[in-house]
Amino acid sequence: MSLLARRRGRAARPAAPAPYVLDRMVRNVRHGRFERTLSLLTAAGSLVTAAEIYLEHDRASFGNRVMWWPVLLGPVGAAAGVAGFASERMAKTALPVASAAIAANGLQGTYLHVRGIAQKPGGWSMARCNIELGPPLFAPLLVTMVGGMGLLAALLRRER
Amino acid sequence: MTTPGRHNPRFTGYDVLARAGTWDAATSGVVLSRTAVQPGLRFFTLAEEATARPLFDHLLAQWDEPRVPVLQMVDARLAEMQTDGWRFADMPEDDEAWRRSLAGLDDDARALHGAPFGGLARERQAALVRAVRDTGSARWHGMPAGHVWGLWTRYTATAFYSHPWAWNEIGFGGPAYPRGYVRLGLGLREPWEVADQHPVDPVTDSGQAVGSRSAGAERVGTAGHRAAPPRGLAAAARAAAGTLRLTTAPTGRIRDRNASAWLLPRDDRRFDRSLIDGMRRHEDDDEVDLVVIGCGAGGATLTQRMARHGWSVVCLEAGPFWNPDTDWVSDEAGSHHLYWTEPRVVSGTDPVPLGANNSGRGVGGSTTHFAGYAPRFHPSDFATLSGDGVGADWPLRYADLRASYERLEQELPVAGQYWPWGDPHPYPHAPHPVGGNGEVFLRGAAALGIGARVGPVAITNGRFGNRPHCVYRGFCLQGCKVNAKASTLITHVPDALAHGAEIRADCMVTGIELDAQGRLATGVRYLREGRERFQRARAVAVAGYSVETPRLLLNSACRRFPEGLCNDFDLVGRYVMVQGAPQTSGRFAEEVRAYKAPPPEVSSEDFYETDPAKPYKRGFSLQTVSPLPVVWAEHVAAQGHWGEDLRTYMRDYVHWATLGALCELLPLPDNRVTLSQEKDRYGLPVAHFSYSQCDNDRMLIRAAQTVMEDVLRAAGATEVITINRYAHLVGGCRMAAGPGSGVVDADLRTFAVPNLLVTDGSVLPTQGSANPALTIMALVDRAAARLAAGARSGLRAPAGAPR
Repeated sequence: MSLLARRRGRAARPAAPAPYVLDRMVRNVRHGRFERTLSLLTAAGSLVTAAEIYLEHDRASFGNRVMWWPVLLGPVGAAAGVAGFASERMAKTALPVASAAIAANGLQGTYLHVRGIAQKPGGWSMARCNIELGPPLFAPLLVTMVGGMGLLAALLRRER
Repeated sequence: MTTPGRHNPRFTGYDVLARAGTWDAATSGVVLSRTAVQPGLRFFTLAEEATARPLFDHLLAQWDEPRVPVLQMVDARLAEMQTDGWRFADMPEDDEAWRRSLAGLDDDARALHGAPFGGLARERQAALVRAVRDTGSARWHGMPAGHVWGLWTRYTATAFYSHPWAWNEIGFGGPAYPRGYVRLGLGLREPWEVADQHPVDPVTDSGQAVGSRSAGAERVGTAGHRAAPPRGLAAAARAAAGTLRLTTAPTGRIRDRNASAWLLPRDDRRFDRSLIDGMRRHEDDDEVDLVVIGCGAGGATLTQRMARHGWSVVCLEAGPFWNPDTDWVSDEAGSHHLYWTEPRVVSGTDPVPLGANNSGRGVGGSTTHFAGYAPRFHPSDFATLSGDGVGADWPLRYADLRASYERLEQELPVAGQYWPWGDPHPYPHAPHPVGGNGEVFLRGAAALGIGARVGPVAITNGRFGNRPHCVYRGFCLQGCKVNAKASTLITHVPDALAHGAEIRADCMVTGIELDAQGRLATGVRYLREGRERFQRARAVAVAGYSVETPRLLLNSACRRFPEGLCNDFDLVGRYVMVQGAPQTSGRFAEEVRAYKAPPPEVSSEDFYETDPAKPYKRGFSLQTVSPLPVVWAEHVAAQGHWGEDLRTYMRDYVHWATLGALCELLPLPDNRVTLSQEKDRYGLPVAHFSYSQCDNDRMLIRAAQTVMEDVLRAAGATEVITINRYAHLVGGCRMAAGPGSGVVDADLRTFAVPNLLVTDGSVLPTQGSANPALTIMALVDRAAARLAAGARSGLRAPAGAPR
């Protein structure tokens, strides 16, 4: 790789093999250099997810106060993602820690939602009704996916 | 797919019985027995049967097989005396009224046509039946014809519309536990529900588009209506902050003062029987700290609070200790046992029927089958005399109850939007999704600029302890089998039992005993398994509600109180109040299917306060109510419809939305409970409840009806009908500043006997336009704290005092 390509900013002189931003990005992805972008995506994903969870859990009155955890982890994930975007060190420390917490919280949520469905009148014997009307069965796994994105970002190489 | 008479059904192919596999066992047993072969007649004689059979056919227009076995169902009710208990003072008991009215009809036939009723041509029979209806309030064979007509239509419509074949005809969803409903809202159907094939209004023939205001809708009652609740950014921020405060506060704090929700089972059972098995049990000779009479809203709350304070408490309840799994059913006609059905007599110019919406029985009292509306009273309610010149001033202020209101709203818990009326406040649980009936109310209110909010209902919206989320099955008034709707059976009794209280069910208290000097209460006499017993106690609290509490005090007359206990000033039993509760229904082209979602959904308190522009004082609140088929049949029958007319209206059931008002009727001294000459099965005089309205009451009820009609028309109703009825009971032992004006003080202690309390709805001096349950509980919460703060020894009966 050319040392020139390491330079940041739009004003960077075009490196010979990759005159366009898009080319550079493709080349970065091909070489596993996707850390900063995925960090930012993790940050955005955390915020969007947390906002949606806030609305859904508020609808259910935060009956179990544990329901606040994914809402609070949203800003944490966002901060870690932005930090990972800005600093390589953060991308290797704060980001994986926060992401692991988010992924684990998603698994915990899955367990709690499964338990919630089971405890609805009729339980699993009326599975269709209770899954449709009860706590959303697969929604917490989407949170785990966001956490997984952050973990993956931490493992990737940094863009040039 | 059977329908009565196999008439061309509007819901072709719909079969509620096909869903029977999803019903719980208790409900299936009750409902399916109606389709089974019926036992022979036990009550009606052969001659009565010959009259009753054609009469029932006329009342319900049942001319073809298969018939709903109405004759057998009515016969079984009368043979087993499953009546509502009460009777009008000018009517005999229901069974006797049936015999006399059937004989009267037969006499009419013989007098007019010289033949028994059963032998007449159908047209002649119909003319005789119609003649009874048209007699109105005049007397007919010694009874008011209107009451006879009410008796006939009430029994027959209840039987007919409790039958699954009738449900097939009207498209009703039937029992809904444990299944519940998923698709709530106008025009929405479950996958198994069948659309109405002929959605044209059979009465007005109107197929008008929905959403537009119907022709001729004028704002009669809502013109120039009062101030709307505050709007704007600051109000919104306050609401959001208040709600956030409630949803972030640790639930552990609630659990620390009342762990009931965490003491319920997590599995498919609804009450932990080991709590009853392991209950502390006292001997009759134990002088307990407190004996509570009645285990409803007030009694159970007091029992729990005092048990928490370490008092030894025995709560005596006349009814059973309910097991919701086996004792309660998702069925209207099968839920009579939840009401107080002992005999009572009602009279006055506006007599108040008792039972479904103003009485309760068993542990949990009427909270087991109340709708669940849990609004607070407004600050103005506590001083209506000084504020508006009517009613009475309370010996306490709203501020004295605010903390109690907040505590109880968290313990029930109450779900609803931020409440902008009265003292604005947030609710701990979020508002529930709204069904078709609620959508209609919101739409109509928005069109007229009336503020309407979702809530406040004491139904969990989300997890609370081990109580699950509501499943929107619509049978709130038949006892919640889900444990989602609050009743003291699940909100206060488990914690009381866990803290050493004894709840002794099936014990009917017959009298309160004083010491020889008549200064202090020493205990209560009660009947258990047919034997009279006496429970000694240092303090006694009566919580039997507005009819039974005065009756017990009056029945406990002694040498010191010859006119009844605490009745030195002739105040016991006076100032009993009901709320005027007209219900207005509107017909919509869309399917409303009001039976889905809880009946309590949306309410408005825009008309709560006195409007200086109006000729009447005080106001009313508006709420959704969603009648199930049997109650809906009462609505239709109240318009005078019978026979084919009744069936036609009923087939239109899924298109009707219903609103109810609660009008604040004023306390009047002559609206009172006294003792009747009649005795009950224990040999005690039964209560006689006389009620008459004043002019202010009549104006309020008419105004509320007009507003509801406006709202429904604004929402697009093509036809509206109104039924006049009452709801709730309060007063009878009202609290006041001094013994000359009331029976108890602000701490609910009687003025006459220092260790005797009255802790139920009968202490309310006025009743506002709010449902009373939350206020009853709040008053008791406050009184319990005051009682516990006072030295317990202060109430102790003098050592060795003779009984």
